[in-house]
Amino acid sequence: MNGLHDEPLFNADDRSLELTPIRHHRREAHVVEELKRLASAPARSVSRVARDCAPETLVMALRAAFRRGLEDVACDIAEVLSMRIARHVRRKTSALPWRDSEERDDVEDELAVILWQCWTSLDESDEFWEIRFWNCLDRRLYDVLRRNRGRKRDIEVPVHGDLGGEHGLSTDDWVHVAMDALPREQRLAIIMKFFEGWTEQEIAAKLRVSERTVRNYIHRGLERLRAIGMEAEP
Amino acid sequence: MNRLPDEMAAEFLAEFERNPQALRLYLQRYPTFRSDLIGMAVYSSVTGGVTSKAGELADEELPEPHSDEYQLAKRMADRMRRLATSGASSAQLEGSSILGVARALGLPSRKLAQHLRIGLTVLTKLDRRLLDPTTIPDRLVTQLADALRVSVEAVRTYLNLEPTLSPRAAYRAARAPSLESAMERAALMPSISEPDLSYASEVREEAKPYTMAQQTFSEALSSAPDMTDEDKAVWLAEGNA
Repeated sequence: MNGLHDEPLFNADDRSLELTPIRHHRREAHVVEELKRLASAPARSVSRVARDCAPETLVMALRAAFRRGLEDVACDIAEVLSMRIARHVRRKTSALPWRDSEERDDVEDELAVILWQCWTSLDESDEFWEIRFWNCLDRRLYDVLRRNRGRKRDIEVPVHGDLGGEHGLSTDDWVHVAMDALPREQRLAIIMKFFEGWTEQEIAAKLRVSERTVRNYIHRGLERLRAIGMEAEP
Repeated sequence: MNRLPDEMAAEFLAEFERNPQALRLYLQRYPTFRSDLIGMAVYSSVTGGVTSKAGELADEELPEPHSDEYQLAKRMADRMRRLATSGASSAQLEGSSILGVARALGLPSRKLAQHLRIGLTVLTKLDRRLLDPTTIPDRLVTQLADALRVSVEAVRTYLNLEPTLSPRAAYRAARAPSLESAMERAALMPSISEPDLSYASEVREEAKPYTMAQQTFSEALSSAPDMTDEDKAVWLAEGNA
């Protein structure tokens, strides 16, 4: 350990603690309080002292450590953050069907890589992590899920044949209309089946209904969308 | 794909959580982010809603030791530690290779090839720059840059460098030998009583760097044994393939 490990990561008197580094956002009051509290702790103990801090505070601390070259401290803080998000990430990834646990693990590993890059980034576009951590996390999670699940499934969306002949909707329009116009169950069943490639069995398990009910949701949803598609014709 | 800035994405997801009609409104307001907005809406719906408020999960309990979630947190933290020590977060390919950067990101060559749907053979040729860069589809370059978390420009710069041999082929001579030249030289050789050093210097002067011919992307596809016809057709349909 060198001298930097014994120095605090922040200066408690620094008024700029209230603002994010590029000064685009004002921090929440509780985050400022936590940062000031951390300012009295040596860098090497931050991951322990900050265990109960908001994740926005932890990201700020991680970046400060990383900028000073204290990669071990940054990694310790990243571990605290990983513990904090693990349940949430697993809840989200478990909502989707996977071929096997290895496939899901790969996606979660990819997420870890992206998170590390975001948390150590000094880019303007990543500053929002210090303001709305959970939103940024969900955003990255959706990106990873979409990239991984989207590329594995060539889904036949019933656009032209089923939704209004030659005036059928594009895939994007189709999802858009489904989102807008259908009751929740029909919307989920149709998006899962045609956009995400779930089997009826998987959808039934997820929605806790029978496969027959799922077929019913899909049938009725498509009927409704077909009617909308026809209405949309010029 | 145009990507909505995080601040706007947070606003959208919060709005969408309250009212699914928000998607229509945002699509009208930000048509250039159409695909991104729809993707977020779909995934927030199928994964059980969004986390829209700051601190909403502040009270979430930490995972029990040895639980699945605990193992997941440990695995993620280990991956981050490896990244920190490998320096893989740099945004350039300089001094490295496509496969080297992928490995540093924890992405095995096989998986990268699967992700790009190009087969390991073509990926290896890309890595060694054995393909004419002008014939490589733009979409492939973009996907490669995304997968390696580097800029498209960095990938293009890399692909435009001189071709390289496999590291295992480093023993190769500077130029390919031929039987005829060897026999001609043997006939001209004087008695072996004294070594003829002029011969060596002559060879040194004549030796030119070994240049490797580059294939076009479509030639590489047609000779790739590990790609499906469907994947080949998709890539062949790309403009500059």
